[in-house]
Amino acid sequence: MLELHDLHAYYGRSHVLQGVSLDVGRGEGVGLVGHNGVGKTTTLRSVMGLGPRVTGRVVFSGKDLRGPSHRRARLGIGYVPDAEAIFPDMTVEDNIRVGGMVERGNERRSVDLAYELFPILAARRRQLAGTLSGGEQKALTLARGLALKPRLVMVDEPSEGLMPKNVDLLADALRKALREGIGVLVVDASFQLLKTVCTRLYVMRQGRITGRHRLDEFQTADRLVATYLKAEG
Amino acid sequence: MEHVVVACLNGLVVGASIALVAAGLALLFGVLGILNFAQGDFFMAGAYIVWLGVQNGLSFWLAVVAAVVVVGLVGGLGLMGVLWPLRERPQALVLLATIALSLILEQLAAGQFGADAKFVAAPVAARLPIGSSAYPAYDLLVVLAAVAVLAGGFVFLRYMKYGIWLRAVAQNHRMASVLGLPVPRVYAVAFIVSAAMAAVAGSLLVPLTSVYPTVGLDINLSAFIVVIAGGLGNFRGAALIALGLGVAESLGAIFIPGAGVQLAVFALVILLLLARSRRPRVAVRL
Repeated sequence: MLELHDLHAYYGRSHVLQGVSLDVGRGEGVGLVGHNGVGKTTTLRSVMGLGPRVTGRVVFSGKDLRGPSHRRARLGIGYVPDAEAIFPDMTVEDNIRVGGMVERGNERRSVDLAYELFPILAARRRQLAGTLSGGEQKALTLARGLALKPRLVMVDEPSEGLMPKNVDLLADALRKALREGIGVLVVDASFQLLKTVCTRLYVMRQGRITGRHRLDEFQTADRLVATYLKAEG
Repeated sequence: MEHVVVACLNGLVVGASIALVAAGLALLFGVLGILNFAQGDFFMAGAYIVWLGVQNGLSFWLAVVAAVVVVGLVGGLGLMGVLWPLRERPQALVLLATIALSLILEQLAAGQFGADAKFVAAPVAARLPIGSSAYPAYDLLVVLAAVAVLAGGFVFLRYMKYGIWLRAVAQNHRMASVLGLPVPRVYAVAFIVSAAMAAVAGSLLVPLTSVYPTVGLDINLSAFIVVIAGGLGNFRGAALIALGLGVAESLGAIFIPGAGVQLAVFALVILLLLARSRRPRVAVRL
């Protein structure tokens, strides 16, 4: 459903993506792991058209992705960034409605869906999003992204800074998305999350994909896990 | 007592007109971080269109509608055309561009209509008795219109699709885009609403102030003060402070002679700024 072919990106002189190729199928959970600063977030941003200028192809459902981010979003790509993802001075409910209003008649449904995924948000509906705890903001961002019913969702570091119990909640929400046929591309370091959501894993180093693995081949003690992942939480 | 009431009413009228211009300014600043120096010239353009319309036999109210539509669309989209290409450039360039636009509009007006002031008769001649004097009813109508427009602006930002989107874009334009919001169109709506607000003020106020090419400079100065004092991007704050400022000036003029009022007002604004200086973040607030 999503294919990246030989993606190159530059920040000034720095060659941050050096030929990234990967693919995510319909209803497939795929992980992207690697140390900080190797280009994982830039890869996701490039798909949305947010990053620096890129060369190479981004193909979604057989068509080349071009143009501004909002057009790409409307094709059914959801992006859940790891930071600065909320509208801090708007209420929780308005944060969700904003995206729901893009498609006529979708507003109420998207709000209900988000509350169904994370009931805590319903309790906080009138609160300003900027006053939520870090974990609640993560939940809001993910719920909002999934509530728009994308065909593919890219999630950046959802488990970062969360307690294990909350990581399970996030994983549940992502697995529900997978069951509905939504493709999931997740950047994360939590083995607890990846092993329940993903079936395949890409390893990234210095702007390149250096490894492709089936996740069920690995156990907590493996070198790959030890190098790139946190075994717990 | 009587002259206090009249002063209050005068103040309300002045405040309402400043509030209309300031609200448009605050809206734009909140979204794009643009201080639009041409806002006062949209006010001027609206006033001229009404004068032209009435000269050519159009009814006053139809002329007002024409002024708001024309200035809103032409002014708003024109401003967007000038500023959109500059959106990722330094603030100084944007500022210079709006100053340039302001000068061009003033020169155009001076060339077209001459430097002398044009007058338009108020469409409502009735006067309301206040004690022994009679207050023109049209002036109060202007206040009501201003209140209606400001309330409309509030409802727009709070409940309407583009208003909610505007706030979202102002707070986080990347995320707004990622969620599928048509960011350029949202900007365009902000420009149009902002320009239309200035035109409402200009067209309704011609009967009170007359119109001349640099009328925008005078009105813009007060509006800038109000927007800065109200908190940049703070729509409601700007509106309330404008009304307060108008009334304070008019009332003050009774007790403080001459330029002393202006001084007092500026001192008040400086105090407000000092009190607010610890809040650097800017976004459209309600």
